[in-house]
Amino acid sequence: MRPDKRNTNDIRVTHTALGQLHRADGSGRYQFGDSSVLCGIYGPAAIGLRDEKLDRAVIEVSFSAAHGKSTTRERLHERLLRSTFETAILSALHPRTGIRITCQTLCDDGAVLATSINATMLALMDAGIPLRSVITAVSCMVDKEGEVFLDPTALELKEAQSTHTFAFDNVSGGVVSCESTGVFTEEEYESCYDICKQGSDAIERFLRHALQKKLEKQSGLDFGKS
Amino acid sequence: MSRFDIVSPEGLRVDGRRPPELRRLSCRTGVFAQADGSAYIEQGNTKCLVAVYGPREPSKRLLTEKGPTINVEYNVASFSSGERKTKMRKDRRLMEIASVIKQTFEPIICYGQNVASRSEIDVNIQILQLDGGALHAAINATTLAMIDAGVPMRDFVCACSAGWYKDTALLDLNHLEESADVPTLTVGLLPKSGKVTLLSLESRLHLDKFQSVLELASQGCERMRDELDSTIRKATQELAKTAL
Amino acid sequence: MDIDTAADATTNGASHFTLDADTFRKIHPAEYNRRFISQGVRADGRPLQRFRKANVNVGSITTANGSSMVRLGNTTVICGIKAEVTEPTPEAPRAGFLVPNLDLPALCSPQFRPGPPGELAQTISEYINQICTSTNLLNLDDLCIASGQAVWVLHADILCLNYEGNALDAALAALIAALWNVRLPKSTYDELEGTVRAAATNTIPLVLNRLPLAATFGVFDAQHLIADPTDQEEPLLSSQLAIVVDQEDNLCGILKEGSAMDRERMVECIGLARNRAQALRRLIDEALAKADAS
Repeated sequence: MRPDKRNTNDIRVTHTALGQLHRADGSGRYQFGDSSVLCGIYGPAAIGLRDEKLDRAVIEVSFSAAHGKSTTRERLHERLLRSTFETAILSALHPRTGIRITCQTLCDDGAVLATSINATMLALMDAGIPLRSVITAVSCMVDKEGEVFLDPTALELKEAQSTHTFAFDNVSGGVVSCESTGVFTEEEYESCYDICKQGSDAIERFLRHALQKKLEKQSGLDFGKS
Repeated sequence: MSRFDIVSPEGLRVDGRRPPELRRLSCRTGVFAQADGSAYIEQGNTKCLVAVYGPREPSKRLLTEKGPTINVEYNVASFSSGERKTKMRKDRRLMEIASVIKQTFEPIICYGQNVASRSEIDVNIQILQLDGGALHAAINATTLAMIDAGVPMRDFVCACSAGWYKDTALLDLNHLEESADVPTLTVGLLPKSGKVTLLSLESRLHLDKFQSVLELASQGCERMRDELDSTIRKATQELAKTAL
Repeated sequence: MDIDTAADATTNGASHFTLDADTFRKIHPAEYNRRFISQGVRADGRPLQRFRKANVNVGSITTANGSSMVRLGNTTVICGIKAEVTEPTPEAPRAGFLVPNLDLPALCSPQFRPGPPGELAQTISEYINQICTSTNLLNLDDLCIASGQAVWVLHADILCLNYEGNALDAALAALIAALWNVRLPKSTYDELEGTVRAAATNTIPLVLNRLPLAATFGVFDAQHLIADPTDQEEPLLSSQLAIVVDQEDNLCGILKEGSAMDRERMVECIGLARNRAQALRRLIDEALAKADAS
């Protein structure tokens, strides 16, 4: 039994918010229970001559932890975020520009990487940046008895034998990014893959719903059930 | 006061050498494929690796400059000496040594036809193990690496250190001797002309003794030159064999 | 080898010129590599899924407590481990520390400039650190000298001397080999003076619970799977995958970035990674045996 009475493949209560930052071109906040990340997108905008690419937009990511100085852990998150979205964003449509993604962790209760990927996805949709697919992420852990739990909290992670964060894209259904640490067998990995895929599909429906609500509010129209 | 005698009553130093003996030397050029020129030198237990990139396009826009700019980066690995030194980015001692090496090589590089005036030559020096004599090992390795990179120079720059202890001049000091109050004089020489391009002394040495220490160091430089020369010739012969 | 680039001038007015291989590689690196990979080989002659020949040496740096040098093809990495004494944290009074760090200096490749460590060095350092902590590589309690007063901290500095792609595999292998080579001196804590007395010779080896070794793969043009990418191939890959396997064939880490990869391909990579880790482990064992014998 999990501390918060969830089933092994239940995601925590999710909150989303779009367009909270008025000066950014797009922004999104995503919450898995108490883990919350706010993402702001600036771009496509002009960047220095030295940095620009002639055939595509340059994606830059800046990630800040909830508190404390920025360490190599944040650099790894930035790299993973950048490589995830470089493939999703149709950067060839905006050559010689830069798209700046800024993520701020508001509260860390486990699964920060997955939260930031989802927050960035929301922000990109809010900014209207053309995308190849929708990318959603969720994390899971395997405990010492080999049981798989979806979307663990920081408390549960203390007992983890291995932790996994998966990001899937909805067009091909394949894994875009994966960060797994700890000791695990191939079978455990496959179960995590399956559980996270289901979780990721649920999150994609949720993101779609959030975007739909925002567009309905903006345009005053009713899109009905999709 | 060290526990060992710097020079024992039999006339042997702490590592078994006689006062005017150089440490065992081994050098190789063309060690790495990425750099335009590279060299690795082992002088006793001091291991030094140098990579030269250039002449290439400068990273910063340069104002009118006479000749190519040489940038020297001198790094000491944190596991290289007895105590671990965390590398500080702007460590003044390292920058001082880098600037000394830069000034040693600046007047030696020929520019004009083969080397553009506004180009940049980057010298990256990495000390892997320290046992005294880092400065002169770095200079010797830089000479080899520059030659390997094909940078035209007026002459070899050969360097060696010498010191004075109780009526004897000692050649090529190791770490124990350097740290035991033996004044260390590092000399950089251009062997063809006999001109001194570098002279570095950081402790007190009586003027009467200075001449003999300088002479011993210069002899050490001459021997160093023979070693460097034979290394380059061997390497070139190998290259010539494969270039058929 | 000359490469033709356009049609004849007389037929449609376009100019006809040939480029030599080197120039073509610099101007159109993607196309250059594509011509090889589409035929099942790579620019350096390897079949798509072959790893480069590895070379391991231990104990070359005598000033360090443990050292190793690993060469993967031409990527050369040297790891030196130095032990220092420090105070433990109050939460874990017996636990020592292992601090791995990878440096990619300007020396190793023209793409790195002098200055603070870049993103690649920081991300690899972080991932190696995660592998060390999450797999319980070392019993940190083994590093205790006096509980609550003095513990060993092992600074593992990994220095890349020549970078030709795939620093992660080389760095992790060098770290494992160097840790296996570490010898600590017998030491006692003096209560009265508050100092640690260490024996003159280093004799005590470390006990490693796990030997995680990495294998990196890349996908070119979203189709072809290649193993152990070189620095020429790295910027052209659409996705990269690193898999870490230990001596019991358990997985110790998977890091994937880039475009989507399907499940079958990942499983294929896990199999290849197992073989590679086994081969690397054999090399490390041989190098250690040679060092112990001498």
